[in-house]
Amino acid sequence: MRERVRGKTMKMLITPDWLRKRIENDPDIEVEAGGPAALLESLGMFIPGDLAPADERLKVAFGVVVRQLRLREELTVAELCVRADVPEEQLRSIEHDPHFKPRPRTVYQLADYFSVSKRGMMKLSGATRAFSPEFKEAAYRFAAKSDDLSKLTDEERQILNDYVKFLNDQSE
Amino acid sequence: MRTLLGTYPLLNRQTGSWDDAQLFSPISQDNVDDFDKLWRPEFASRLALARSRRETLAEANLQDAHWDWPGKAKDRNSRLDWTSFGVECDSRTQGLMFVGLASFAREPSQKGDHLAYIDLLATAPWNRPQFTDRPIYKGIGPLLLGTAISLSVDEGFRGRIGLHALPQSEAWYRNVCGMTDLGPDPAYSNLHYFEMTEAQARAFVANQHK
Repeated sequence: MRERVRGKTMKMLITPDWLRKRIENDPDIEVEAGGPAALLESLGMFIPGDLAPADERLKVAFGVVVRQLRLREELTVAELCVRADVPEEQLRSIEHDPHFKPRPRTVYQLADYFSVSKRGMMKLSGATRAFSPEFKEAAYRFAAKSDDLSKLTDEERQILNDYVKFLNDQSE
Repeated sequence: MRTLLGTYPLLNRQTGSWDDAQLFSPISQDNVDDFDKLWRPEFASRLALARSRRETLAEANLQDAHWDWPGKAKDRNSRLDWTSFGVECDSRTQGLMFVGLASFAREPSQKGDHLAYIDLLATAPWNRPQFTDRPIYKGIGPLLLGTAISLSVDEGFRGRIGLHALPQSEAWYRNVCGMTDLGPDPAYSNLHYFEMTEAQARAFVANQHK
């Protein structure tokens, strides 16, 4: 049997008869290979793909939240990266590039460090699409109210705290 | 362009019949849709059951439930160093596999040689003996592994393949497929890394069964 694979020829070395014999003789056990779901157990959620267009406004809000949480703690990017154990280039991209897709582990570590709902932060980061219209609206409102200043004003701090409370109140 | 590589029999454990399955490359939008609409809900409901039974993810064979198949299909279908495969039967995607072609062997006898690296290999949740009490199709694992060996030979890698096995699958790769277990890989969540040499690949695709 010779078939085409992506413009080139690939010869299959196994036959239907070979497979039938293997099935008859092999034990009935698991065959999966690949990475474990290190985050899944603790997050209790799935990390879906993003074939659907990402919601850039949500990701803008995610970057603003992370930046403001960092400012609230009066940390530099480098300091936060050490404390939360996340790569510096990831954090810089999260704060400044709404097209950037952060790794789930990074989101998890940041949520853990700031004691913010991991589920809410995963939604906000674009790692999952399962969010309600209310969730989106709250994120948009938060991002719109928050200026990109080097220090938080009292009002911004209050807005941030209220939004963190909203995230922490998120259910499934 | 999506290509049919062949039609192979799978054993339907429920009916005892042999059903024809089609092997395609690369993975298509239909496969991605099946993962999203058919596989993922199964994972979700089984995860809830596993929690109620206090099972680990390994015991429920759910450790790969997070795999970002749709994203990987989208990213990799346009890249020449990745090839993907889908197995379809009964109008549903029954198995998926990604193979990378830019990896090098670690096993001493072939260290530094090119090999085909199986990044991800998975059967549909309803086919997994540890996932469900009534698994349906058997044979997707050897079909995909035989496909990876065929690809390796076709690429000039002489059948050499490598992969990181999930814990519940180590016995299959070690004892059934005859691959060399190079032990836990600290760079990969301590999953055991397995390699198949040219001789082991030849033995696997020959009609020799243990």
